Amino acid sequence: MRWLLLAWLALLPYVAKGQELVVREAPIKAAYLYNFAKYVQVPTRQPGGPVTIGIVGDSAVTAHLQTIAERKTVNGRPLKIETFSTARTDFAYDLVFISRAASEELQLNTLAVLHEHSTFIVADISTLIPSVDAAFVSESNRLRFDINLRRSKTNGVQISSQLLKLARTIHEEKQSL
Amino acid sequence: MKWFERLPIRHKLLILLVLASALSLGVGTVGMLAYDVQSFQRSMEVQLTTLANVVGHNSQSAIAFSDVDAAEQTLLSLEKEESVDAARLFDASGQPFATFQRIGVSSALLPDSLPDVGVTSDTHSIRLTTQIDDVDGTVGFLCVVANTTQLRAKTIAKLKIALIYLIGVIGLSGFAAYRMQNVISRRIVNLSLFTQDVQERQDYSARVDSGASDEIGSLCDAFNKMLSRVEQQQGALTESHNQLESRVHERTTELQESNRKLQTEILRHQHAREELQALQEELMSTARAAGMAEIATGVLHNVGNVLNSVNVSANLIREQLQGWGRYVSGIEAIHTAMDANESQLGPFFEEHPQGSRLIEFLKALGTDINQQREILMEEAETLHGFVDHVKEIVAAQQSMSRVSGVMIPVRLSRLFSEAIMLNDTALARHGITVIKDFADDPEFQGDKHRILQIFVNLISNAKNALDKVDNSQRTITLALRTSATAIFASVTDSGIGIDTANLSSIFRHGFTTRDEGHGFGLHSSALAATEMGGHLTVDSAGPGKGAVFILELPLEIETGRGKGQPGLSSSNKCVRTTVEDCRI
Repeated sequence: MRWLLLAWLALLPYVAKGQELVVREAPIKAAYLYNFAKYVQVPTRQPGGPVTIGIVGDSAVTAHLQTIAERKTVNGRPLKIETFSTARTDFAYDLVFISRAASEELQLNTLAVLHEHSTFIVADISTLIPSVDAAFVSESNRLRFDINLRRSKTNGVQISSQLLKLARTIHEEKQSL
Repeated sequence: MKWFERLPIRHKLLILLVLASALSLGVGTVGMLAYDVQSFQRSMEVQLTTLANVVGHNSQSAIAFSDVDAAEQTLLSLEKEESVDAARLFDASGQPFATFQRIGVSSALLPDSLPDVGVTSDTHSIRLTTQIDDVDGTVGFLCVVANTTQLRAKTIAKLKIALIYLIGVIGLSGFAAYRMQNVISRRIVNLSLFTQDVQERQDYSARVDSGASDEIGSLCDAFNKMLSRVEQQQGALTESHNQLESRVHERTTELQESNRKLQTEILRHQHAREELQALQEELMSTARAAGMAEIATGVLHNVGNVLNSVNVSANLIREQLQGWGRYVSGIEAIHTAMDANESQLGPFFEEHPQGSRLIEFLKALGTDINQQREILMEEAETLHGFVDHVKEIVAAQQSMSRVSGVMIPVRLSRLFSEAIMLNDTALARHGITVIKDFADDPEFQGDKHRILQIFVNLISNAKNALDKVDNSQRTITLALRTSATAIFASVTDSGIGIDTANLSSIFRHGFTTRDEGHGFGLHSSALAATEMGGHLTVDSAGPGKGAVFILELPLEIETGRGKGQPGLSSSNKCVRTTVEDCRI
């Protein structure tokens, strides 16, 4: 027991730091998603209609994004948030966020459905970058993102240079998926 | 500006032209510089605003994604703009987000808290705070601080250029003004020189060349017209002057002639006045001599009266002495009888009948001679008294005839007594009663002899006025009264009185109502009274009602008058109407 207690005490700062990071990441990611919606132009988006964001998986980001949606607009258009945790075949969202809470099956199913679909896909898993437009990465205790410009261009999604200059990495050429 | 007024007109014109050019150019240059500075500042503000908007726009995403590094990278683009010293991004809540600060620039330039949106500036910097907005609202704020070094450098450079330009233009304008003013001032100077020449030579027939028909030409024409008028007026003035000179000459001649006549007349009047003065002095002397003669006549009359008494006494003595012959005859008979009986004197007296009567005769003769001696002694005493009386009269006359003017203490009662004494024989002969009413008799400083002369004269006149009056009514009243400043001596008679018509002329020289009078006594008395500072007045109720003469004399000698000459300075004035015509 004594050895267990000492080990827990030794790991305590890291445990606490990881909890803090998790708690702090959700609103940041929500803000990032909101700003992605501002700097990304999706061709299927209806003029004057709401900007729709679909959240795959039961994530804490949803609540924060809902809060933002209640008081802000995207280029003058309201923000609409939907969450789903089961596989679907119809996606009419401007932006889809695949959270870590989604199951691997759901993630893959969603990516498969949205393949060649003009939806800006943001994934919370960097390994999914070949199939998504943007992926959150954590670097130096700071949340950043990578851009897969090739997919965006392929699907007609326009990404603002303002957003591009903030990306940690921009994948533009053919890459092996 | 006195110095400017004293400058020649050429210098004035030159200064005015150069000054006007310099002022206009200076004002223009200053205005242009001010406008340029303002424009540059405005341009700088616009440039800063544009720059801030671009940077702010480029920073939107960085703020949105809270990417400080990206924001600072964006702000770093301001480094290319040399005028920008620092910049700071604020997030939408006003918290500082990212900062750019040029090396060597103080951090105090940047505000820690969000400043008001807009532009503020001071002499060294301009601070612009702009709002970073997108469609959905305010993203953040950008505050840019720029220095004005470039502005100042440009301003100084332009100022130097403007100064050089100004100096050059002033030099050119001065040269041009010097050339141009000569055109204007030359004619004015010529006109001035011409005017001066006309003034010096007094030649109003000269004319100045008008030249061009501008204002100076008009001035020259006007001056020529004025010269013409002056020439005409000069001619008229010369003619008038000649006429006036001629008239003045005539008038001067007349005045000289009048003056000569006047001087002759003045000389004649002066001679006449001198003659009159001499005559007056002679008359005065005559009057005094006449008065003195009159008094002397009275004195001689008194002396004569006394001499009559003396003569009577002498006759009586002579008659008495003539009676003494029988005593001589008797004594000679006694001597003869005694001589005949010289040897028998004893028997002669004892036995001879004549001898026995001779003793009785000698006794009777002794008694008789003793009686005669007493009579003669009495007469001798009377005669001696008369002689003393004559001596007193002579002494009084001598006293009165002494030189007047000596002021001594006098009492008028005593002088009245002396005056009466000088007239007492005549007064007694005429049966005149003299009444003395000396209520006041103060002693005062007076001219005794003049007063005595007046009193003698007044009493003599009173005596004469009583000649035709009944003996029982012949009275002369002498009275003395005083006031605070004067003493009044009056001589009142109950004589024939004076006609009212004669009252005003009774003191006039030569005026008299008596056949044997001279008209000098009252005149000289009035003059003497005036010379003593007093005056002599007369009053009468009319003919037959007597008259009163009042002599008023001051008790105090007036100051300013010479000692011993009271009233001398006022001798030329007559105090009352009764003595107004005392002078000739």
